[in-house]
Amino acid sequence: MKSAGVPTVFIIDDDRGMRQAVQDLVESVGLRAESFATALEFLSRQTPSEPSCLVLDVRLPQMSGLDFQRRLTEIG
Amino acid sequence: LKIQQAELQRQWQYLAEAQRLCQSGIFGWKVSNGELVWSDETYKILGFTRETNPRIDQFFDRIHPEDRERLRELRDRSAQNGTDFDVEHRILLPDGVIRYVHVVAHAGTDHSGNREYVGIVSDITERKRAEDERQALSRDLKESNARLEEAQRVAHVGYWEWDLKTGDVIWSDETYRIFGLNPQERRMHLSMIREMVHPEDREALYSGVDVELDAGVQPVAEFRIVTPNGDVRTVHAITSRLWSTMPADSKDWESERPYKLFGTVQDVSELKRATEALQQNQFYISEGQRLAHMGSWAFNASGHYWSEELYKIYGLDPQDGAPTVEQYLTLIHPKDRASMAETIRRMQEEHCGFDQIERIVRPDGQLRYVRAVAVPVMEQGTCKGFIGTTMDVTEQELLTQELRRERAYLAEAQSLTHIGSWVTNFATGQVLHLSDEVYRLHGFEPNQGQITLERFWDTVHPDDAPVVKATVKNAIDTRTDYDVPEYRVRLPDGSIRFLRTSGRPTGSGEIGEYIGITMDVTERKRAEEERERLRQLEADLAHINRVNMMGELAAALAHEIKQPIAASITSANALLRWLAHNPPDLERARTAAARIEQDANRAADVINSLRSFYRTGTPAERQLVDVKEIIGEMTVLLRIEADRHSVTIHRALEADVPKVLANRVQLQQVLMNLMLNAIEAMKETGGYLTIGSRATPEGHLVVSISDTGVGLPAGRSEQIFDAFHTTKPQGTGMGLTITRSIVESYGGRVWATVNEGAGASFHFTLPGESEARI
Repeated sequence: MKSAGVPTVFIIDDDRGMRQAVQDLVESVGLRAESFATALEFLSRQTPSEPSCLVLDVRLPQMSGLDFQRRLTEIG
Repeated sequence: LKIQQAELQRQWQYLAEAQRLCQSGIFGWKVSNGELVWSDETYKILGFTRETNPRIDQFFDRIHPEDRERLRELRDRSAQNGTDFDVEHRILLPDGVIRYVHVVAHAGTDHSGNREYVGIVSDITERKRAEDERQALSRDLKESNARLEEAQRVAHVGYWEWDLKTGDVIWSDETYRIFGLNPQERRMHLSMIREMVHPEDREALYSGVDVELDAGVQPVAEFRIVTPNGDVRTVHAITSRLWSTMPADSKDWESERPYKLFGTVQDVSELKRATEALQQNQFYISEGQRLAHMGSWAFNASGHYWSEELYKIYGLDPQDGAPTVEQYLTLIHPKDRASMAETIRRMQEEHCGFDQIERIVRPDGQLRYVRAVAVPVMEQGTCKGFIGTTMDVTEQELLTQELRRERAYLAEAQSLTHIGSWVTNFATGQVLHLSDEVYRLHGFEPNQGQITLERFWDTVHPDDAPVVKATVKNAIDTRTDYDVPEYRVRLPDGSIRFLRTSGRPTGSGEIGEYIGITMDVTERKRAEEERERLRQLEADLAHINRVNMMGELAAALAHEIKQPIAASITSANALLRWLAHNPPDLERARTAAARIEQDANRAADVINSLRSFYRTGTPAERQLVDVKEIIGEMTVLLRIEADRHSVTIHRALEADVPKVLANRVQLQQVLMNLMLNAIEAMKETGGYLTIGSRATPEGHLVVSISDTGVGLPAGRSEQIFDAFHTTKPQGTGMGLTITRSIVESYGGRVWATVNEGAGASFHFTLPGESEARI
């Protein structure tokens, strides 16, 4: 999926309908998109060093969006 | 001459002596001059002195006046014809003595040719008296013989004689009659008599008589005879020997032996029949008394009689005889004794009869009821005693008492339940039975006497009467049962009572004759109305409860609706962009459109599932529902709320649980109440909500909602279901109450338990599909 020069937008939302809609919108403007149901799923798949755009739902199961943001700041 | 004269003298003396001995005198009668010559004895017989010079006139004076005329005729005839005569007549002496004389005279002539009679006059007074006596005797004998005959005839007693020497048999007239013969129609022989004795009795009779005669006993025998025309008669015979009446000093050998058998024979057929009939009657009477448990008694001047059965009724021994009044009173039950003593006193003093039931206590302690009836025996205005009967009526009395009791119970039961019973003939208007309760139900007094059918109809409300009458008429026409479930009657005070009445034709076969009940359904009617009012109230409360719950869920629900809408809007943006591509990416646009539809539907579903919650009024009809489906819906609705409080919902649903017949909204409400409560209990701590469902062996459905929250208030696991009991600051306290009322309306049950680890569990059951109550 990855191609140089095109930034990837990561989407984290537990609502499958919302997740798919956002991913589709991102892709319709020519960007790459990857979606995850939970923050933990995202963390287990992605290395934080890779610069990216993140669409984050605040209300998430297990780890809320705000907690996740704090976690990202910690990691740097 | 001297010798001749002496000889003559002597002969004369002989003659005089002979005359004296035979009481006869000699006389001569010269017809021509009426001169008489008498011997001394003649003087004596005729009562004249020797000095008298008798003349015929003087003689006639002495003749009894009644005989005088007869003698004169005889004298004149004799004087004329000169015939001999022989006459008897009486003479009347101057002292009044009457003498009978017999005069015999022979006619002759004297030496000068004049007619003269010579005759003898004999005194026959003695002979005449003896003859009279003999005649009187003979007359008496004849009379007494006739009386004897009559007596024999009347008493049916005859006699017989058997001359042992000659073998002659003599029967009296009655004996002939008894044997069915005409009196003295023929001479009887022993062999003939033997033939007439009934063959079965013959041997015993003859051998018995002989034996007894030899033993010197007077045989008495009863045997049957057969008359010539075939009648069988029973006779009673007594035989005795007649001994010779010859003087004892005659040396006749026969005097030592009986020369005759004499006997009487009496026809006792009638007596025997009467006796047998009497015995039979007595047997019938005593048997009748025994069967009827009835004894009889008589009390009069000659004593006190008790029948056998009467002794038995009182448990007394007939050997002891009838009891005295005092003894009798000891047999009466103590509670009835005084009144019985009074009854007997009145009977004796005022000669009143009586008829009453009293209790007696037999000597063995057994209590019996007897009905005693007594009547005075009046003869020409005076009381000659009393007769009466006593009947053991214990069984009837106990039955009567039981019947009375049962009737009282029935009346009581009718009065308690307000159900009356009746039997009436609608065709004839005849009222055959009416229990007191029927009177009361229609506003009458039970003791006001028989009430016509018409008056009952008059109490029925005018609006209802035609319907009731039509129903009854139709039932009569078709000879079927009828039931009028509800009609109104107007009571005298103007109030209205609701009644129900049903009837069925009696078994009598009479057209229009019905037996039935009428019951007061006013209370039921009021209760129904009350129930309906409560149901409405409950529905209203349930609605409030639902609205409240929606209020609590508003934030979560808003999110639940907003999310698919937001997704739809985002998808719509994407769709527009895919169309704006050159060339438009139709494939991606179609995918986005499909997603829009899907998300919009999702939002619509949520709204739909909420809409019924806001609806007011009575819940819709019940239908077969799968509880797992409803649990799924509720889990979706409550997910956001659960998330908000860090509550995770687990579902532990058995695959094979029965469907239930229920109203969907009510079931949703129950689940939502219990799940919201569970989330509430974990509001501060978060935790797990586990919802499970399973089937019981009986096929019921059990749903359990467990939490890991604060648990139940200690010892108040039942109280929490009470109305207005709440632990929540904003709670109405209606949630669990409504839950319980809904579950119980399905015949189910709801209860709470404390979990082993933490928190509480709420369970409810619902009858499986097959048992569900609709």
